[in-house]
Amino acid sequence: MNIMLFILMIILAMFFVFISLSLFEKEGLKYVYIIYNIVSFITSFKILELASININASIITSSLFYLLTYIISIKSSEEEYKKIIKQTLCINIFLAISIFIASLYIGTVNGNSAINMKYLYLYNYKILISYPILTLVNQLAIFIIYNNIKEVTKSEIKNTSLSCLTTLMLDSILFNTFSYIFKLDFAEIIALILSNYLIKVLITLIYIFIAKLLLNNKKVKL
Amino acid sequence: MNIVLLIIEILLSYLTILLLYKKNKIEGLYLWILTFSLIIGILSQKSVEIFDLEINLGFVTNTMFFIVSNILVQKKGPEEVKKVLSIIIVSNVILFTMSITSILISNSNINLISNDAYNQIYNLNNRIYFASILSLIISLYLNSVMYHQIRQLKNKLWITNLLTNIIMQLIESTLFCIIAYAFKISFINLVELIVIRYIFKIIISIISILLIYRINKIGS
Repeated sequence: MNIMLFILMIILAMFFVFISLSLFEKEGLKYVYIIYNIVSFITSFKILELASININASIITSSLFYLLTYIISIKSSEEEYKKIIKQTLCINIFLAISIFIASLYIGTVNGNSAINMKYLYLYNYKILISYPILTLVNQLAIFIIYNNIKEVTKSEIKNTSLSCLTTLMLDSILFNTFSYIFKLDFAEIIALILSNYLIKVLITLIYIFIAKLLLNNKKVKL
Repeated sequence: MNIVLLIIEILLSYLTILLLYKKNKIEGLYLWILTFSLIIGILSQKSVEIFDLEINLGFVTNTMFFIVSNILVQKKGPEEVKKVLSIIIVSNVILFTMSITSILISNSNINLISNDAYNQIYNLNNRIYFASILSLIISLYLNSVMYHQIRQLKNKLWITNLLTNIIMQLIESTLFCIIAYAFKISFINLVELIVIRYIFKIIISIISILLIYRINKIGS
């Protein structure tokens, strides 16, 4: 059942990219990019168990987010890419502050939403801090890695795979270390890093054909 | 404590809108809509007491949606609201689908308390989540129609904004409270919630007229 739901999530995430592209036309790519960034942020607070493996709930959306980052880095000029990075950072910071402030409000006695928000956002305050910073680091990493690999190989598939796989490794290590350090055991963090990376690689490999489709489609631009 | 946080929240909302507009113009306003439409449902679930009055959080962000929408209608025409509504619907459908599927998948034993809290916040039976999105979509649409019509009669920025806000905040507050709480609480309590929400939102929207003037000064 869990695996079926997970596959459904992968398909739906891909489906929404095309929905957004057809609905918002030239702005579609940017909108879906920002949406997946925020959804990744929001869902990153939960850890799932999939076939006895612990993974982060944001695993699908963040894989897609980094793949879209890669596509945007190719499709846009350096200036445009810098602008997008700044926008994403700005949005993530405002979002983190807003969620933090909302969690600090003292709730009414009969409502348990205050307790839920406290357990979700205040207990995991490290995610609120690390997500905006790590997203920025990974966005920059994609750009640097892509430009370096471009000089070595001209194969589009190799370039996409190598750029995404390296960034995903960086993301899995940094995110899980900063978010769960002093909270989980060292062994649990290592297991989380490995499982997240392996599943993310699998998802990205599935999604690579979307990247190819979007890269070759001249209508898709920023 | 809550009053201080409310003031910080209002100031932060102003700052966010101003900064995004200053750096990205109209695109910045769409980015604001995109970002905050995804958390408004989550914020609305928490009820707090401000001046001993019970109210659902998210009312500041909700009021700001009307302000941003009015700026867009003022600058680009009433057609823009269709795009705003599409953004709110698409982003929430994506968030809802992803979060619901992640709830249905078993929790990990790691970080168990947070996993349970996550499941309760994104619960399928959550009426407040739907109420906040639905009331926002309906009232934003009506707001754009009304704003455009008033503007044709009297093209004064503060009059059009004040009039639309007085009427639309009442419609939004009523819709939100009915969808979220009807048949759950007594009629008297329901009316009380509507009135409290309306008063808070009206105060914020009156203050926010200054923001509209500030943005108008920046130009497009």
